[in-house]
Amino acid sequence: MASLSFIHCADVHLGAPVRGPARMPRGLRDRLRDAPSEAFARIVGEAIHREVDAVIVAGDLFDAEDRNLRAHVRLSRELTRLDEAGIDCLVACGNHDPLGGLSSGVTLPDSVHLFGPRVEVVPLRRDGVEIARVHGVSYEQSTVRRNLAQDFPRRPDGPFNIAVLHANVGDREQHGRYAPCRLRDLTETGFDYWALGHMHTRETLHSSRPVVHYPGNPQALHTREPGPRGATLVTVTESGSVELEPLWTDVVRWHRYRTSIDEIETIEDLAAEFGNIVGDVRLAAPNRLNIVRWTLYGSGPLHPLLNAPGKEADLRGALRTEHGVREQGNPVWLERIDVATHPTHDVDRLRRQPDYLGDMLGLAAELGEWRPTPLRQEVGAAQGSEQDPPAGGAIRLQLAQLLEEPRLVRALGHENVWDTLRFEELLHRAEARAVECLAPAEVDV
Amino acid sequence: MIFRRIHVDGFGIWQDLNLDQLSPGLNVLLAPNEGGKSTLMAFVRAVLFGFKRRRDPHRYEPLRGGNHGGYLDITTEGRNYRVARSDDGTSRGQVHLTGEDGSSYPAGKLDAVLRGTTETLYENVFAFGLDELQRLDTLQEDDVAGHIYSAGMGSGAMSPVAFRQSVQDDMEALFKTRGRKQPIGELLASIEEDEERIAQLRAAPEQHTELLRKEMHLREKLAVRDGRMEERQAEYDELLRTQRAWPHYEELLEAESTLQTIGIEPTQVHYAATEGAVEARAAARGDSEMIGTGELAVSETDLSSGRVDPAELMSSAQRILLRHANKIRGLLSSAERLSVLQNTVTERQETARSRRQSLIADVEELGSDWSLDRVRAVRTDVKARDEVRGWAERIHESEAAIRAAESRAGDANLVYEAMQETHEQIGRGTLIVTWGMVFAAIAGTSVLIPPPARFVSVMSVVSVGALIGALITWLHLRGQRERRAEQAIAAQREAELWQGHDDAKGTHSATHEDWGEWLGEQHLSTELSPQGALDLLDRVAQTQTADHRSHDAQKGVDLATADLQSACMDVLAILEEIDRRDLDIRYDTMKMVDPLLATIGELQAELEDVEAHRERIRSVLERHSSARAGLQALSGSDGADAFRERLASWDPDALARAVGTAQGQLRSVRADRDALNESLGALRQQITNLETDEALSDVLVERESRRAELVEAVNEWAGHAITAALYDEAKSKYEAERQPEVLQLAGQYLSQMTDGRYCRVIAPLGEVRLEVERTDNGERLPPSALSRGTGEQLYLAMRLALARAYGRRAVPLPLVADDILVNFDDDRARATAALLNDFANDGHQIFAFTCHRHLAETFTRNAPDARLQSLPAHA
Repeated sequence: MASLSFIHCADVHLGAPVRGPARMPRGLRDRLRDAPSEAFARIVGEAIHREVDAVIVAGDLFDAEDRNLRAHVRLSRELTRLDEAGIDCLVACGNHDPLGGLSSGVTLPDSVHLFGPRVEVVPLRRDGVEIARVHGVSYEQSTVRRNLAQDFPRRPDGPFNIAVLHANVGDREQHGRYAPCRLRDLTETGFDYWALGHMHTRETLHSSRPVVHYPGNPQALHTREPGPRGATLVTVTESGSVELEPLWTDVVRWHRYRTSIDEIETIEDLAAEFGNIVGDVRLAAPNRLNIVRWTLYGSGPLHPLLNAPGKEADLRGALRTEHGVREQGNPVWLERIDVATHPTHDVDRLRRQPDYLGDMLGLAAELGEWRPTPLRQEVGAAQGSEQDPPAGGAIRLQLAQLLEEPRLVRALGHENVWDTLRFEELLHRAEARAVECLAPAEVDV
Repeated sequence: MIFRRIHVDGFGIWQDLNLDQLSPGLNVLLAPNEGGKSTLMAFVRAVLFGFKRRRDPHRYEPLRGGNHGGYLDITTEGRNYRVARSDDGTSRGQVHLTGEDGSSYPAGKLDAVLRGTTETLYENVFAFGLDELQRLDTLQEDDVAGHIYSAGMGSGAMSPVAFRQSVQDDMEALFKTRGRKQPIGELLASIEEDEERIAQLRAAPEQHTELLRKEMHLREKLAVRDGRMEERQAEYDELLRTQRAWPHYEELLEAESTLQTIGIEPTQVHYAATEGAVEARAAARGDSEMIGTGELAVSETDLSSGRVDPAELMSSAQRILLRHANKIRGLLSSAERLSVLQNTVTERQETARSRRQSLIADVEELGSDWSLDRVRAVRTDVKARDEVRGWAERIHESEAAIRAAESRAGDANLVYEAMQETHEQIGRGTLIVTWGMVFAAIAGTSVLIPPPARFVSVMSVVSVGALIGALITWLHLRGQRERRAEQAIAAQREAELWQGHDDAKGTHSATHEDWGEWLGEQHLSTELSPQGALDLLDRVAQTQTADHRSHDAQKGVDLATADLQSACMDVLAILEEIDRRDLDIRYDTMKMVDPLLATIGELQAELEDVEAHRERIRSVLERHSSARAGLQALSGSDGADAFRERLASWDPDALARAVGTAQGQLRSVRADRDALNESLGALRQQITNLETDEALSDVLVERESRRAELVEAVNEWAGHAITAALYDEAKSKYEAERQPEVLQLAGQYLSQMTDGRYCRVIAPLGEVRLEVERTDNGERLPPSALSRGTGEQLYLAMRLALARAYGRRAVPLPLVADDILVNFDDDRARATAALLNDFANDGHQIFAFTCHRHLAETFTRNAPDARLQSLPAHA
């Protein structure tokens, strides 16, 4: 068979806003605004540079819901670049860009093939010779609960068979029931390569014939998508072996760092630690905007200072000024410092004390892995659910005052307000505050 | 702890009171009013904690003798002690603690025995009367309240209430329901604004599609307009073409009309296809007529036959003329030429003559000895003039040299003469003056000297004067000699200079001779000065020029003459040819030549008419052709005929009107189209703006940024809310499960006293107040809401509880209660008596004082273990 190469990407989400940190400088925010488009432009640039045979997009190329005409026009421009370079582009639609989601005024070049709602096959040719066949299917609507993998043919003919599908393989709970299927549904079909989309994190589910691969998204959309993001360059040798090479295309990258304050005596030492982090980030991720979330944990002399009201914001501001806030080149932006340090008190001992502080700490400890859930999901749940740990009901009631405020629910859109809570951290901070304010000084260790 | 004996030495009204029949449990002591119950209570407190200050009414100084004080025999934790208090002059008095064996302990040991119980605690908990039972504040003293409220509350940097309040403040600083000034409210409002903006901007794709649709519609309209404009343009062009062709058309019509008047059918006129070919080839048939020579068509043979009458001859002559028409024309033109040539010759001859005369005059003016040949021989060129100027210079130089030599010689002569004159003057003058002076001196001296010495002195002066005169004379002679020598030199010099002058003169005359020689060579008078020579040369040169011009004029005459001759030869040649050809013309015929010539003249005139006619035709044809060509050029694809037909359908005014109308229409359609184009441009710009509009992306990012901020604020608020929830939950738990032991016991006691009407006594977390919970409905009531009796029962329950709790933790001090059942109803009094019985049985000694016998009986009936005794009468 002939060797071939193609770029497999998915979940570009053109036109979707990247959910950046609050109060970023204008220049950096502009980078966020254009990040998905820039990432896709990098994919197109790579495709042209490496002279691949095709670019395959496995769904969610753009966000139809945002109706971002500018992004659609830009998409059209990028696809025209591919067209002019003689590179075919095969696009399957996913839950975010179901068929018909593109602005009707935007036209795509002829070399772009949009798969229809039924599985169809498109031959891939080089110099008139068929080198592969690409099978694909698009979402007709944003919700497809059916197992679309079953619609693909069994034992397809042809030189090298690629299947393009936007689906939740393994029906993972956190990722919605989008064309859910089992890995076995894919591996038993006789395809050579499954070009998947939907999971935003790069993952190879099956590494040899067929290769079943999620390239992840080319650009992280929010802080919960840390680390490098990109597309995959797939090279098929004449012998039919498949090599995957990641192409990191993200223009904004989130990083998470954790530092223990156990050994840190002063704020200056802490700032120096952050300086080291900035150095690492710049080295590891040049040519992009880097956003760092920094978690401080452990216990030490800095704990009271870090937990004083407003201190985290002050420190964050100072570190931003000192390190990396430049709008050009390779800026590093400190998104937030999560202060998860604990006081020097012997909290376990305090918890055993037969007093109300002991009770508070005990109640907190009893919460364990419990997470608050909306009240109104339950019938007659005004007093909490029976499954709640002792303080659970009170916490849910208390939180519901704001979290079930209709304006807040509207303001956060699709995001479940309750899901935005960093409960573990908050609980930790509540405990720390109670200990700080209510524990007798003499029990200091 | 139990009191085994109470012994008063002297305390208030009591003196030497000894109570030793004390039960370790409940003791009911009956005494009337003012029977010393309170004094006894005060005594026990004073022994344990000291006397009151001296002016304190409760110090109870002995009123009836005896030493102030007394002792208590106590048993505590299995050991017996005697605690004695005596007045040692200090206000508190002296305490003596002795053991069973009489051994003394230091005063501090009592604190240990009392386990740190303070006086206040004792007074509030262990010794109380009706007054205390009716006052809450007796339970609020720190020592007491600590046991009620602080139990289980910790002792942190912040009070629980302040802590809860600070958490609440933090929450409200971030969010208040319906609050807009708090950060969360502000963010919610901003996001709502963003959402509205986004909703507007999300209409962009529809707008875009709509604009594209409009654009397409406009383009279609534009295409229609373009087509219409093309039509209008074509119409206008056509009319314009027609209008431009109109002058050609008119000219054509005129030409055709003219042609027709001269008998030429315009349709039969053909033109050479070649461009600009206006030479008409008339129809062969009309050739002779056209050229108008038909009447000259005399037969050559007729003329040559000689058999012609005069008329024939005339005709014959005409034929001859016809035959020789060209030659005759040649002759005529030659005649003209000859006349011109003749004139030329005459003119030129006249010029030549006048120039010749002018030349001769010029030569004569030069002088009688001048001839034309001499003039021609003289060189008047630049070189000759330069040579003359050279001579002039040389002559001038030689003259100047003579003048210079003359001047120098003259100067030398003057010098010499001056020298001589000076010499003579000096020779005479000097000596005369000298000697004069000598004599004057001698004469002067003689007059001035007195007479006796005058002679000698005059002699001396004469001698000196003679000496001076001789010296001067010597000097004068010597100068004369020198001057003569100088004079000789000057004379010699003068002679030399004169010699030089003569030399210069010689040179000058030689130059002159040479000059004369040069003039001779130049055929000029040797008398001439160089300037004169130059002037003469100018004049000669003018004459030479006149000579040349005369020569040229003569040449012109010669040439013209030659031309004339040549022309004559041509005429002769023609005539000769005619002669040769017409040798056979008879003499009579020849005689007819004159009339013939006259006829020729007439014919000539006729011929000219014909030529003019011909010229007219040619001109008409030219115009005709030009007009046709013009029409042809403008006819376009229609073809000339169709074009002409169309032209025929117009008249100029209508055409002008039509052109105007068409132009107006075209302008209107074009304006229409331009307006459409402009709209299209604006539309395209709108589409481009929409396609590149960053507003939506910006607002989306802005909204996400605000959402991030909101999530942060919500989390911060939630942190406080979680703290609040944990606190509140811990508080409930505390109030439900972890009230201080005191309150739990108090609840039990109160329940017992009220026959279960009240079940719990609660101190809300962090607050220094009590609430009583009713058993039936769980209602919590503050003490102020209770009846007097129930209030007293609550406080009694609290004291019992405190005493029990304290007893457990420290030491169960005996309880002294003064008439506490007074306000209790019978049931509650009985229940309380039973309660106290049980309480005492649990190891807590009680002394219950009363002045009411029925209450004492209540005790005896309901407290089977109580020991009733009456206090001895002290009066």
